[in-house]
Amino acid sequence: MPKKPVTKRHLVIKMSDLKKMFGDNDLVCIPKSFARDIAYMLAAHGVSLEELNKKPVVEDEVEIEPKSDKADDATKVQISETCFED
Amino acid sequence: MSFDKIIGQEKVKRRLSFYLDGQHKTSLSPHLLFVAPRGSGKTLLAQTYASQLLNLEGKKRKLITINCSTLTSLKSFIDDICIHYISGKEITVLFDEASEIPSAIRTALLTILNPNKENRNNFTYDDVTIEFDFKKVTFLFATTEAHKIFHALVDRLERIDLEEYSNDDLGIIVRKNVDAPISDAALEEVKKVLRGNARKATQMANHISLYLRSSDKREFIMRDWIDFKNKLGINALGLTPIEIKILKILSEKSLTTLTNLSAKTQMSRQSLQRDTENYLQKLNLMEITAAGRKITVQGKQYLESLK
Repeated sequence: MPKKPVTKRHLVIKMSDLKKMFGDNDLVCIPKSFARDIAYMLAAHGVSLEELNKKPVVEDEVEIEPKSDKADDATKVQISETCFED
Repeated sequence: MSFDKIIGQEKVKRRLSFYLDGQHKTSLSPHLLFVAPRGSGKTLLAQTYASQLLNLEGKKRKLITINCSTLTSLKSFIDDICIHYISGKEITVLFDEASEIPSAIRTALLTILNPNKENRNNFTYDDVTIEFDFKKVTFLFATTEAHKIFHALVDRLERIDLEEYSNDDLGIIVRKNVDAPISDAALEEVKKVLRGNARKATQMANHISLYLRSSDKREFIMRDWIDFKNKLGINALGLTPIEIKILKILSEKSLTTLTNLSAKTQMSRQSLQRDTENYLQKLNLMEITAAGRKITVQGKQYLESLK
């Protein structure tokens, strides 16, 4: 994989190389500090960090739960309306 | 303008009355961020403020309150809230637990709340453009954890920090919510266990009312307080059993680590720090040093008083 050092602490990696390693549904652990750095870019694509990782990952294992309609119901926005009398 | 039902918070009430006066004349209210510890009445204050905002016809505006921990995506925010409740309407929106707003929505709010002379902004998402006219829409936010809210969003809001409730304020809250006389001596004791928390004062008042009704009494005096606190297991200074357990653990060694406390109490470190240690430190019953946690002289005296 071609890598080009930018600074002592940075590398440039081609996306096409990453795609050889990872599929669309693979989970990749990245440092939280890096995620925070790119939070703005993720947000621009409608991806929220809170959604990505609500619970801290334990050790190296990640379990994927299939998303169901029930889960969607449970996460519906809770809104209460109040009308005030004049 | 009236905040008569809210006890204390005089400076905040004056400031809010000023904003309301302005809103009634110009239709414009600043977007507000209410910051206070849990149980301090920030949501009540925000709702009371919202209840007095007027629409362009001079009638009271509707309020929607959003539990931000249930906000999950920008699409849901746009579809369920902006299009359904805000677009083309006059409304006040209260974001409760605002520190839980997801970053995608936070980014959208930065655009929506960007200040300008026209006091209106357009926000486009998925080919839908929504107009936010701040003569018609006001955003309010309430949180206990202002530091978790993105600074650029805080910059777009007027921050309202609530004052700490004095014991006298809490006593007034209790008296106001109990529909029977309470003796001064009993009230002094009640005030000591309320932990500076207005919500606890209201809950206590409800319990006292229940006690009076169930025992068919017409006033609450010192003798009743002793009986009442025994029945409910209320400890001196309002300490919870887990806080007393922590003091006992600390009294066993000269210094204890947070990890050790966590292991012995079966509570997470975060929960210990957030829910228990703050109050114990505030009362000077324990102290935290670089070397570890330890009980103070007052803490030891407290444990002695329990024997």
